Order: sequence, then structure tokens, then C-alpha cells
Amino acid sequence: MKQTPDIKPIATALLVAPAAILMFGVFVLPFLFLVVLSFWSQVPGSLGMDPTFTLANYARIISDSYYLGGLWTTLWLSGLVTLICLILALPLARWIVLHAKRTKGLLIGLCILPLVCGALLPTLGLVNLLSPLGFINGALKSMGLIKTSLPLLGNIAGVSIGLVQAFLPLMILPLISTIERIPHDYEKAAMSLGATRLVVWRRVLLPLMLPGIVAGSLLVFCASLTAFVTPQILGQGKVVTFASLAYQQAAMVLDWPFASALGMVMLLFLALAGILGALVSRGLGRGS
Amino acid sequence: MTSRFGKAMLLAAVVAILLFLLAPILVLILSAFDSGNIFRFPPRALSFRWFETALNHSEYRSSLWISTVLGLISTVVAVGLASLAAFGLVRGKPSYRLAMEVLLLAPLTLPLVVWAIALLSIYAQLGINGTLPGLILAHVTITMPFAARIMIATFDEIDPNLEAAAKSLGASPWQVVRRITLPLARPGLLSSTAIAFLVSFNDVVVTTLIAGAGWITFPVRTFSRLRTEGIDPTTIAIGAMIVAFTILVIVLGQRLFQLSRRF
Amino acid sequence: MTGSPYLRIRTVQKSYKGSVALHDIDLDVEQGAFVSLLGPSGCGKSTLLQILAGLMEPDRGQIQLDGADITNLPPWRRNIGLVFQNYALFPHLSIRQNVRFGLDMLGMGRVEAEKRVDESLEMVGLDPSLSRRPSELSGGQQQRVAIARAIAIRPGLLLMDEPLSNLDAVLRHKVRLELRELHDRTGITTIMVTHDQAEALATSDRIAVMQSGRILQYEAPETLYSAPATAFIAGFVGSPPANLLPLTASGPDNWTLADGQVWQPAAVLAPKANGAQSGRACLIALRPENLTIGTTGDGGLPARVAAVEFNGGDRLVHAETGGTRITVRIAASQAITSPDILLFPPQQAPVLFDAATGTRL
Repeated sequence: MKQTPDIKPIATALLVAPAAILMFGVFVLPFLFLVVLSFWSQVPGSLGMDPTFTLANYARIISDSYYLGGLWTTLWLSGLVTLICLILALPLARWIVLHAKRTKGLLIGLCILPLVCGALLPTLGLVNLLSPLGFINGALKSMGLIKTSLPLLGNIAGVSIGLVQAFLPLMILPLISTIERIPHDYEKAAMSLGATRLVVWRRVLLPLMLPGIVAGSLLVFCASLTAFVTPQILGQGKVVTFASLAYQQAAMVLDWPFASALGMVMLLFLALAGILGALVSRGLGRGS
Repeated sequence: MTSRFGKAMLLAAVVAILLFLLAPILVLILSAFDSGNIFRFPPRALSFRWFETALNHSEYRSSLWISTVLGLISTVVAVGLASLAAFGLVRGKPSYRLAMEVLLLAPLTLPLVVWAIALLSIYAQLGINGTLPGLILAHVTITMPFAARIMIATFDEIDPNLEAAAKSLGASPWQVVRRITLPLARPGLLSSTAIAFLVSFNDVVVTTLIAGAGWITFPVRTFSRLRTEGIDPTTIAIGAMIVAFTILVIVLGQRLFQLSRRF
Repeated sequence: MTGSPYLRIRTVQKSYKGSVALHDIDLDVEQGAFVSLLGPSGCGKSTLLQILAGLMEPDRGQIQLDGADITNLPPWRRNIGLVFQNYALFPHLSIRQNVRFGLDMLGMGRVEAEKRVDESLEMVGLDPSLSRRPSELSGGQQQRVAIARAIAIRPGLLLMDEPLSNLDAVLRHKVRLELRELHDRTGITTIMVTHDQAEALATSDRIAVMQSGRILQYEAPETLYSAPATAFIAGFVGSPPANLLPLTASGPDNWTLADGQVWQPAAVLAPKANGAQSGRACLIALRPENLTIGTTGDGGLPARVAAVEFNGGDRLVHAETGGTRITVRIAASQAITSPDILLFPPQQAPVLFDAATGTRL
């Protein structure tokens, strides 16, 4: 197989340049600007921004319990959502890889569907499902399991359900590609050597699935951390997530420097999560 | 799974999880057929009333139109740029291929809400806040990862010997592209167009921050109505139509050009 | 001009990623010849083919085809046909459209092109009314289409990259003869890249044996077989290839084998007669079919039989001597009764190589 390129380097560069310039200019540069912007301040009463260097935005975040509370809520909510997604995705991914040869394409398509529908539409359906007059409460009542409606909207429960539903595909897809790469014979070999199902899972399968688990968890955690559409709708304004705060500051209060500082804090936690993920996969990978 | 009970349990769990994943969308579609004034599921009686109202509602009509136009323009640009870049990366085999792929896929990994805040501020500084070109740029950027990923996979799959064979038979590079590369890339082009359009059409996060008053897309209008007026049947009907449209595109895509393979 | 060859390759050099793939290749091919580039993988034969096709640019050197310098011409302006190992048939076109492709590029009229397609398909033994897609055909059929497609444009040079490697063993034997017959009928100058020496020996007018980016020897198959230029070639060509026995000259009349055994062969085989100074380490090439086995006699090599293979028409005897395994081909009727035998090389000037460099003595 030929290793040399089929087109000249200049042609390659010309083909790649437009997309590269676009992505760098429109996507990457704004992030750099964000850093700078977080040290500016809003000129009160206008859209203008005062570029004198100030740490006031960050100071405000650290000192005000409103923002710290929002951060804390967002962090553990994201962790919870990630855990639930992992528990739900594992059997589904395993099933798709091991047992669903013919329908695999269809099932993957179904998994992709929520991703492509965007944040809004499935959330609308969820509002009805979870509302006091909605389907779930209605079904539970008619089965005689509850007398009064469970409050599933306007609280953490509803938001969690919404986030899990939205981001489950992000956990399923990496798991599928990791599980596909595990030769089926490993399980059989382990069992033929006398390992019980539990041991097989713990010592053979989980370590081998670790890259997919880490990748999926990272994706879900980061997506939950920065989600604001779903929490706003399902939380009905009562659940304050950090991303909603940033959105409010940017779109309604129009204090863009402060919103940028909030954004920087989110980026910081994303970076920490990424580092943690890398450490986990390297550390546990070596230990097994 | 060796035990049949175990396998049955797994299957039950799988079905339950799939239902959980898809229930909201199904509910949305079905409840749009409800005849009553209140958004209810299960619907008491079936009717198309709300679909009619939705299609006659001028505000919604105009935002649907805006979403469509925006989607079409952004998709064409994104798929075009992504295809050129993908072809260069796959056939040119440059040393920077991996770095470039990371760049093209960046919007999938970095938070769009944070980016949108920054973009908004920059647009305001440049004075192009709320303009259509600004919005188009943003949409091309968010759809690029999908288009790029599919087109790179597409070109990776085309045997380079086919292009070499065509050249040896007297085809100039342009003829090779026209007669061999493009026809073989067609499923990928169609897939990326479909996906990019859907992503642009359904985007809320970025558009709600960037779009000016004159360019309110359907999802953004729905989102703001939700927060001010709560849920009403018209919104549900339109939401249902959008979801049905999305599903239709995906199903057709799978049938006609094996959409799910391109990921 | 009788002196000028049809295809002339001069000082072609190619390196990439720091290593040299081709070192100053010189090759002449006469018009209408069938030449094989033979060698193990990594020897540069495919690289040379790519350069001939114009798919790769040499760092240095010149290629002339029929008097014209084609070194800087892109592939679509060289008059060549190319057949790939994996056939590379266009999957979105029908068989006929595939074969017609080159003719369409030439701007040939529809009627004439269709006639040419019929001819080409018939020439490779396919039914011209075949209107299927390539994916519906078997490997052997796909390969025929690939060949038909390449010859339809009546190229001045036909290049084939391991055309038989993807076929199963039975088909390979059959098709290689057909390739030769096709060549004889069309008279197209052909260059075939292969790693299979039996294939090359069976089909070619001349074979260029390559190793590590160089041409070791470029001769007719018979010459390559009887007078190999290096030990590598001797041990590569032939089925089975020549045995290479290491020995060291110990005096004018004797050789010492690797296990210390001393061998005093017939005079024509002695070190003195072949210019080997005492102490010179050599390799002697012994062709399996030229060795005879006996139990008594002078000048024989003592050996111990390890295994005997029955081949139907003959037997292959594997025996150990001097620390090396030697294979001998004998008639099926000859019986081996005892494990201790004597091997007798033919009584003629031997093929000897220097053990260090592998070059002919």
C-alpha cells in the first residue's frame, strides 16, 4: 500500500485552509477572547465594556454564595447524571454489540436521534411525562401506587431525568465502540479457567471497557456541566445551574465580562475533569 | 449470557432503557394529536386541529422559514468546506492530519454556551451583532464537526487505487473527481447534508444567544415562549412536526445511504 | 533503430521517509517483451511500477517509452495500462462501463467504443453481454475485467501489480498461463510485479530480480536458474530453490563443512579448480534435481535422511549434512533403504558464492 500522498502538499494545504481558517477564527479565537474579556467589566447601564484589567468578576463568583451554590449544585448533579448514564448504558451497549446484529444500524440510529433533535424537543415531551397531570403520575395513580402526584418538575429529580435522557447517547456510543473491540473469546477463556460471572466482569470486562467508560463519562459529565436549556425548562427556574447563570448574564443582564468569567470557571472544571479522566484511564489501565 | 433468564432480564432492561430514551419524543408526537386545549398525554381524542393552527400562526411560520433558510445555507457551506478539507486530509496524508481533525471536531468537545457568550461579545464589538452572516458563520461552525467526521470517513473508505486506475486510463484530475470520486462520495455527501441540516435546524444553545431580533429561529422562539407563556398545544404541534421530520430524515438516510455507518 | 530499447529506465532513484526505496535503477525492455520484477516485499518492485505508471515521481532519473521522454508526464498522458492486485474496478459502473472508461477518456465514438469493449472482453475469456456490477463477479472474473479494461485502450505498456496474488492457488496456475497467452496474442509490452518466483519463471521472457532497491540480475528465466549471480537468487528461484551449503576451503582439494566434517569431492568441484584460497568461506548451490543419492562411491557428501516427501511423480528427500538441511529430488521409483546416504553433486563446474558477500566466485 502506498505511503506517499496522492496530491501535492500545496494542493492539500489549499483544500484544508478554508475550513481551518473558519474553525480557528470563528471557534478558537473567541475562546482566547473570552479569557481577556473575563478581566474586563461592564459599563453600567450600557452595552459598552471597560477594558481596564480587573479581578472583580472572579471575586464576585467566589464570594457570592448564589454563584458558589450554583456551581456546587451543577457539579454534583453532573456527577449523578454521569453515574446513572453509565449504569443504564452498559447493558444497552452490550446488548447492541452482542445480540443485535441485524438491527444494529437501527438501534444506533435511535441512539443518535436524541442527539440530533437538539436540547429542546425531547424536553418538551418530558415536561408532559413528568408533570403532575402527566402520564407518569397518571399511570402510577391508576396502578394505585400513589395517591397524590409526585413532584417531578421544578426540582432536581426532573432535571436529572432530563439530563440523563439527553446525554445517554453520549455514553452509549463510545461504549459500543469499545465493547466491539473486545474479542468475545476473552470472556469464554476466563470462564473456562473457572471465573464466575462477577469475577469475569470485575477483572476482565471492566478493565477492557475502561477506555469507553472514561470517554463516555467525560462526555456526559462535560455536557451536563454546561447544559442550560434542559435545566431551565425542567427546573422551571427553581434549579439553578451554573450554565443557566452564565446564560442569564449573557442574554438578559448583558454583563458579558461577568458571563465570560462564569464561562472560564466552567472551562476550568472541564479541564479538571479531562485531567482526571486521563489519570484514571492511565492509572487503572496499568494496575489491571 | 449463558442463562436464558439472564438473557431475558437483559433484554427487558434494554427495552426499558430504549423506551426511556425515546419516550419523550414519542409523547411529543402523540400528544400533538390531542383535540383538547391542554397539553395532555395520553390524548383524549385525536385531531389535527393544532397542526392547522400551527401552520397558520404567522410568527411560527416565519421562524420555521428562517430556520429552513439558515439551515440550507449553513449546510451547503459546511458540507462544502468539510468535503474539501476531508479530501485534502485523506489524499494528501499531511503530517498535521490529526491536529486538523481535532480542530474540525472541536465544537463537539468544548461547551457551546461558553463559546456563544464569547462570540456574542466579539460580534457586538465588531458591530455585526444580530446579522444574518454572523448567524450563518456560527451555524457553519457548529455543523462542521458532523460534516467533517462523515466526509473524512467517506473518503477514507474510497479505495485510492480507483483514482489511480482512472488516471492510468487517461482521466485528468478533474475527470477523476467528477466521474469517480464524487459519485462514490455521494452517500457521504447526502448523509452529512442531512445531519448538518438537522443540527442547524434544531440548535437552541447557540442561536438563542447569537440571533438578533430579526432572525428568530423556530427552536429559539419556542424556548422563549416556554419561559414566558408555558407550554401550549400549538408549540407542541410544531415540535411534533419537527421531530417527525427529523426521524423521517434519519430513516430515509439509513435506507438510502446507510447513515449510521458514516459515524 | 535496432539498438534502442522500447522502454528505457535510467538511474531512477527514489527515497521517502528517510530511507532509499530505489538505488539508481537501470533497465531496458524490448518491444513486445514480458518482463517480471521479482523480489520479496520491500524490495522496491512496486515502487518502480508506480514510477513507471506516473503515480509517483522519482527523485532522479529518466524514463523513455518508444523514444519519448515520459519522466515528467502525468499518468493520464502516458499510454499505459495498469492492473492492480485488488482489481480496482469502479464499483458504481457496470462491467462494460468499466472497460469502456479509458475509451471514453480518449473521446472514442460510441459505436467504435462498444465494439472495442466486446473485443477486449472476448480476449480475456468473458462473455461480452455481461452487464453486471463488479461486486457480483467472482475474484477471477473481476481480474479478467481489470485486464480487459487496461488493454482496451491498446496501451504501449501494460503494468501489472501482483495480478495473481489475490487468487486461490488453483486459479493462479491457470490464469498465469492465460496471461502469457494474452500477451502473445496482443503483443503488448508487459511488466509484471510479483513475489512468486514460479509465476515469474513460467511467464516471463526476462526477469529482473530485485532486493533492497536494486536489480541483482536481469536475465531470461533459464539463465537465472542455471547461473544465478548471487546466493540470494540461487536460494530464491526454483521450486524448491537451490540448497545453499556453507563450506570453507581447507587446502587445495578439500572443503570443511560447518560441523567440522571434511569433504573431498571430485577434482572439478575442489577449491583449487574454482579459485578458492584456503580459508575462504563459501556457499555452494546444489539444485535438488541435480543431486544423486547413493550408498557408495568417491566424492560423496555423507548425509542423514530426516524426512522423505512423496510427490506423486517424484520424491523429495530431506537430509542433514554439514549442519544444513539439503533437499534432493529423486524419481518416485527410487527407494531409500537406509538413513545414511551419500549425496553426489553433478560432475561439472559448481555454482559457488562468497559466504560474506553472496557474490559469485
